[in-house]
Amino acid sequence: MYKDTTILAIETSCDETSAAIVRNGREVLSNVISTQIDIHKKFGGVVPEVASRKHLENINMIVQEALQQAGINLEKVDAVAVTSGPGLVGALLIGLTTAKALAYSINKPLIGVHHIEGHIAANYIEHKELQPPFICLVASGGHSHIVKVKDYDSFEILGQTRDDAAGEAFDKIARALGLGYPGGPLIDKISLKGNPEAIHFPRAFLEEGSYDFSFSGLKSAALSYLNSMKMKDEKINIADVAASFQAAVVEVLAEKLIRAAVEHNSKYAVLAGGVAANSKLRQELQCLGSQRGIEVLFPSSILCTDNAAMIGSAAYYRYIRGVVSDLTLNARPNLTIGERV
Amino acid sequence: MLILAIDTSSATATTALMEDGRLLAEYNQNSGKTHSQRLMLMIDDMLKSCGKKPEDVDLYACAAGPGSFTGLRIGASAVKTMAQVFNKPIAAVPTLDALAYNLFNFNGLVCPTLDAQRGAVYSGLYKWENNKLLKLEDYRVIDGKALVDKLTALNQQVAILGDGVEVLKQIDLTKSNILIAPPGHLQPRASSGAAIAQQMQENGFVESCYSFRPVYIRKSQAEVEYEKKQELTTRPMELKDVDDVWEIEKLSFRTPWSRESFVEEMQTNQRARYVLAELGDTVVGYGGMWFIVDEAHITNIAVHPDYRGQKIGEKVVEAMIAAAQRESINSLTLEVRVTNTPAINLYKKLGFDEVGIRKGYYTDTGEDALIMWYK
Repeated sequence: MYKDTTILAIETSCDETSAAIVRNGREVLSNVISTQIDIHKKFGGVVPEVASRKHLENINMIVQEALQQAGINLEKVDAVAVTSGPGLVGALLIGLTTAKALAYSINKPLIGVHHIEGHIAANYIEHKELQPPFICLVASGGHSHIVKVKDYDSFEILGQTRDDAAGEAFDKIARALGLGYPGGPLIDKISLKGNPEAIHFPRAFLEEGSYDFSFSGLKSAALSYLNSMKMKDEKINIADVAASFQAAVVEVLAEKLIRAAVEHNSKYAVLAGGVAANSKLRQELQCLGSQRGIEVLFPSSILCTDNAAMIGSAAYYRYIRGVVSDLTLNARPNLTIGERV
Repeated sequence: MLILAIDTSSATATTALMEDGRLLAEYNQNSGKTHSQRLMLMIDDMLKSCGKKPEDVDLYACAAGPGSFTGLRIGASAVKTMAQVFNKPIAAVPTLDALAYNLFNFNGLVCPTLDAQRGAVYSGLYKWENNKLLKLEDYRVIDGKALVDKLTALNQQVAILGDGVEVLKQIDLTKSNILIAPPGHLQPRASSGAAIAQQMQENGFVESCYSFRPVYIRKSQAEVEYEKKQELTTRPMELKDVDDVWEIEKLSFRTPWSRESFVEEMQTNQRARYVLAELGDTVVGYGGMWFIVDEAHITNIAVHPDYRGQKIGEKVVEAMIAAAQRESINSLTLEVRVTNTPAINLYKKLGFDEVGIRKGYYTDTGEDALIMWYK
């Protein structure tokens, strides 16, 4: 008889404390996310030490809530999954130590998961029909990768950022525009009121055929535009700057993802990570995709943020292949994708 | 009763298993391996070799700080999670108390120290009297050089221990009154934590996995910078402040008032007046008093451990005096532990005089209270 696999997953790599119960990799029984955004806002960004303290305060309550919302107790848990990297080391260690103590206490396997593989797996939860291989763009505050997902546990990086991550560029420009933190959603929102063609910012496509990104030139162009306007004492239309900046980022991301999908004969172009919640990016991709015969998939907004359900999904595919970790599993702040966790 | 004790607050990782006062096992490791990788293996190995299972543990003893932020959190998250799974209590053992306990009945002062980075250490000062460990000073972060000068000036034998000794060794320690504890006693030992935890449990000072959190006594650099820009203000306490105040109460006293007591003080006690100190919009200290005819009896004063040493207590007491005077009450009185020298000095500075002693006033330690008056 077929037996269900229930995984309790934990994610604390940045400023979200999250625990989830996921069945068979695709069915989310609960996904509790406690964000610290309000705490970090006044500092203009995530303070690692503050994030670590908050994770420790909240983690056990979050795990309890995840179990309660799923309506199960620990006896029903078959394995404990946790993000082991990349991320803030102090923050990762809270989830990691909690997961280890939990796995040890209930005598079940521990599964370390790569955070980015988790983001990709968010799509398995959203799109039950999706199976590797496919091409995926992972874009967030810390990452901008075009990944060829060859199998559930096999990845090839086709391209990545050479400087700032896409989300990081959004944060920096949002700060320069006085919009606050976190920058991505704020820029997305105000851009709806702006003209994306008001200012022409450079698009860095880099050398012919490259899937890499570079956002530092665009960032400098936007900052120097703001500076020159100030020097000339001219009024800055924040919505126009935001919309034009966003258009430049989105155009490059969308174009490279669709081209990668076409060139690798992928039926799907898949979006993952915090930037996947950007409405303009989704729109642009769907438009380009339909022109080139590529189906564009992305997770619902809640699964784009850092959450434990996606970790539970990725862990399931390790679990059924017998890939588990031991109690010496350590935090790997700079873990690269595809590397053994 | 089986106690599992853990201390990962410094370079040493230590775990102990104590059953009904008998030490079954103690593992200490100070080899530079990360606590994150070692801790669960140490616990597993220790339990197994003693023929015990995780579910047999009745009480967890966890190093509660101060110490290495990351180290404290590794121990705390392991303990909190095991306590959660097996629904068992946690004794939050102050790291410096546990270190001082290593030198049971030492004939002199004991100064435990833990590396606080950048040449500073976390330290406290203790002495043993009639088999009891007395805390002479509050935990603090102090520059290594300043601590050595202070200890030298004490002019009596002081034993130093903990990984802060490595910091102090960089300074001239040849002064004859400072001794370094021998290797077996030098580093945190979970057996000391277990012994203290047992006393804590007997006195009912245990917590749940949801309430336990380390006391860092130091903020993150980003918060320090942010708070530098904030203003310290005082105002009367209101009902909405009860949770903030109760948090400070729990962090400050061994026998804290209940949350309900504070609610009652706000809602029904006509004689109660409470004053808060706020840094920006964070409640950092408070003081309460009861107006009895023409006198104000101070009931409690506390400053959040993270904000001590910034003259916040002084601001609170000044605000209380002012609040009393606004209602034409010019005499204030309070009791303070005879050993609480820092507080006594503060009250003296603000115009309080010593007028008497109440014998055995504090039920937890049997200590005497000093009665002080402001007129």
